[in-house]
Amino acid sequence: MDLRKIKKLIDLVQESGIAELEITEGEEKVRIAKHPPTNFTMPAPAGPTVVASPVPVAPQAVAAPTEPAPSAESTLPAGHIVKSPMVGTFYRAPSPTAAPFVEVGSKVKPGDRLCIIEAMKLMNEIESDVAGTVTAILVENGEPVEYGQPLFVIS
Amino acid sequence: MSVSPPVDPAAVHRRLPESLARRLDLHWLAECASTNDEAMRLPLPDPGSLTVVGTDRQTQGRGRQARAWQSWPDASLTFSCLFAFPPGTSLAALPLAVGVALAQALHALGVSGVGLKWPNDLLVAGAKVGGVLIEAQSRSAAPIRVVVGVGLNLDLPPDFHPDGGIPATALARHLSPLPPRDALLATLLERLDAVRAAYLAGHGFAPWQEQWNALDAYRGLAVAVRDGERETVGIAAGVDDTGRLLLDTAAGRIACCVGDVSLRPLA
Repeated sequence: MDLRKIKKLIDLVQESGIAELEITEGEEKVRIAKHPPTNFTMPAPAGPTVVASPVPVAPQAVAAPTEPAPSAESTLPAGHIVKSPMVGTFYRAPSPTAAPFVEVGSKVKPGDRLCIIEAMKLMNEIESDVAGTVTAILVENGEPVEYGQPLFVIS
Repeated sequence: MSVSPPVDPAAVHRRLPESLARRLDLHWLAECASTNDEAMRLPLPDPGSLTVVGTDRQTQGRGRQARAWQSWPDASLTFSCLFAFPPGTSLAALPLAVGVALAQALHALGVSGVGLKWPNDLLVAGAKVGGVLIEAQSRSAAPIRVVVGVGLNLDLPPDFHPDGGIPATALARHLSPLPPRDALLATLLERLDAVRAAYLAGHGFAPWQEQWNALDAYRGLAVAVRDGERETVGIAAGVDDTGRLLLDTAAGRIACCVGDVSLRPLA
């Protein structure tokens, strides 16, 4: 399997809601996962604790070397980055008709709710672990998020 | 539509094994907006205990993203269990384990044709008989608060048809005579307490995977998994050990962790 094909598969996984793709061609096998295979879906701690994580967000091809993904964080505004502790769907409000928990400019303190991430119908309330002002909201309501993906910047 | 007598907490305690009855704190309300909201407000129990809030009339029951959960007074069993887990406890695929527990409880009561639709819709003969909404909340190093809300149709108006999705059914159509609600609740609580104990012990979803797959109502069928605007089509192949739905697609086997599943006629 050539590198161009693997790159294309990575793009396919990145653009889709698929968490993992495994393809076998003859004796070659490639598995592409959006998160590390030893720590997927809802890694411990799986509670809605906000954690800072070094885990890369971009898909990783297991069977072949690929170009490193550019760091998304290098373009973020300065401040504390709240990352997703799990794979799931990002919701800014408790219901489609309710006001968002926070907007850009909202002042928050530790324990204030920022969003909900739904994983397999488990609604996890994600709370701020710092005090400050929300300066960036990095994900659209209803979008899928990956483990370790930056969600908010709080300055 | 038949009407079930109100739940008597003392009767529930009497029906439970002594080991569970003494750890159970059961609050039964004549009416409330949402048992999940009530349970969220209660003090956290000891991790080895079980706090339950139930009601005869739930006026603002809800499912995912505030979708309404309709229920009829005295013709539903609506309750929420409040669990406390130590910080860091893995809740991976907890909703699927809860689905297995509820399905096994119905089977033990004598209902045949019980199945699950990923992740945890409770089906009887292909129609939805119950729903689950689980909410989790943790504050820094404090215990994780988990509320497991359950709504079970005991009876339904004959002309009730849910908007879209799968058809609805009620226990009274599959179980005759219908046991009193305190007996149903006791059976369900025993199974749900086993889920609490397994996750508290750190076993996670592993003990439930095989049982979930045995209850899978869609295994081997063509399904569509819709996540927002995206739709993936394939043959349902059960769940993996983290609870992800496996789909055999034209491009190979994939694992889905988000999305709504619906049956898809074969092309």
